[in-house]
Amino acid sequence: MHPRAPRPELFGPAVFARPAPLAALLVLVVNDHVLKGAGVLPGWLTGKLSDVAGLFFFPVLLAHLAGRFAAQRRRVAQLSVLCTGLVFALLKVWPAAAAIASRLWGVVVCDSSDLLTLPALVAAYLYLRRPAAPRVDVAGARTRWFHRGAVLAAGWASLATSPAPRPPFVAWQIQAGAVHRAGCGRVTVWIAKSGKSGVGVGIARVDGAGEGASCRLVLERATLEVAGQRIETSAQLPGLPVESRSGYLPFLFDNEAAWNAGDRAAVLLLELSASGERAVVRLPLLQAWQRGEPPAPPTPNPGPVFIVPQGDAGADPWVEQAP
Amino acid sequence: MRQTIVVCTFVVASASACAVHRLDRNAPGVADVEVAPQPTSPRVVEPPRDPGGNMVLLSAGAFAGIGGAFGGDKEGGASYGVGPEISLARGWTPSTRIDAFFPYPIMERAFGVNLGWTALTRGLTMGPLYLEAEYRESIFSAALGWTVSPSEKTHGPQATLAAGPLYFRFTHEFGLWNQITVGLLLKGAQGWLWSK
Repeated sequence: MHPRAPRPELFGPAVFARPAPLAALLVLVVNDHVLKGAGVLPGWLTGKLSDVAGLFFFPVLLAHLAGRFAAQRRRVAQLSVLCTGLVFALLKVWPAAAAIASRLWGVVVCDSSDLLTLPALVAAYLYLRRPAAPRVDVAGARTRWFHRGAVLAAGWASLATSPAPRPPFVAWQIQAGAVHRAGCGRVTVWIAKSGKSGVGVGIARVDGAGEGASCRLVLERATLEVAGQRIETSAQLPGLPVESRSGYLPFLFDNEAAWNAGDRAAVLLLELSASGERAVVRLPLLQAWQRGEPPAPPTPNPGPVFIVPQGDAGADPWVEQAP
Repeated sequence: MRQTIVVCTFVVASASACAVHRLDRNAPGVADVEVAPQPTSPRVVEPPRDPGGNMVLLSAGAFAGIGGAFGGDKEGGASYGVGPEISLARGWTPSTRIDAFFPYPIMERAFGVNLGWTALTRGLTMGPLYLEAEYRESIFSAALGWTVSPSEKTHGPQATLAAGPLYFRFTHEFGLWNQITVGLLLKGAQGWLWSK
């Protein structure tokens, strides 16, 4: 055998049971499905790690697949490395190609700095061209099935990538706690909707066990002060009873214009009657980018799920009561 | 010299970052605020819907193709075309949430211009310059323009069809020849995206 001839066993299923391809496969799977987004390693590192592992692994996979049908295995090894490099470079410099690939098998980031990982192809080529090692016994039926399973797993790992991050969006958020005292009762207030045409506020009563049973809460007026304007809710007021069942207060205004003008702070003013006594709940609002997971499914009790940053979630309620 | 320019263009194209810069303008999403979320109980928080986006895409890169020249005063035969191209396009995207599924969204529709130079081609000293008006839909594009060869003092229409990085180009230079090339066009791109 020629000392630099490709190793025959690299073109059989046994290749995926060998240490180097197996290690690359493990790095791909663990990095894509565990490490990415976990915050254990920096984002740039997890991105490059997959690229390096993939650039080593894919030529081996290609060589295995093509080597079954081609006699010239040395040429197969060269073409496998070349094709992997070309497709990788195409995905990294051509946005349309990255977008198509994203549709087909998950998020592919078009980042030309990833081309720095291309030298991993040299390692793949050297691995495919290493002198022959003792052959792996593939005669046993169990071993054959193991190797076929390894090929399938390799194919799956090649296609599966980590899930896409959730999209960012702009929404109003309440800069205060979740529960607010209003005279003899307590209410919870949350942003239920937020969009170009305004903001919708949810309100519900959240009295504890045996608390405020005789207290009757009625919403008399709800206003939103934004961009120097005082906007009244379009809900039927006054006289809206506040109960444990959610109420909804829409505030209609040109929120897009307010955002574009840089007016991103507002004050929500709720005037209530608590068993005849006047109570005012005043809440500061801020409109900002929301990143990460969308709001979790709502829980029936005691309060809504807020889309405020974690740091604000535990803040003391800011309650303003009329004397 | 021309070879150096073309090689440099390829290097610059492959090194230039593909990035979409998201602008803040019109950022709030779409929500039917007048209508209460359904169901009203238990308490519901409804994220805004994606309004789609506007986008300006500036891209630069290089093309390389092979084909043939025929039917003119100059002798025809197998031909090729290699050179740089810069494009500016204004389009619309189905999503502004570029972090969500498509880091670099394909524009569903766009209009733009391409300025290019077939620096290396068969039998011409300098190679023609061209300016095209382009229409894009998804990954497909069609462009019509005019080409000028300063060295030959000829000019004529040019049409280009593309699907992703693959292109087909027909050039007619009056008094010279017709030329057809098929090849690969690779570009780095910088995009600016804002909400509709």
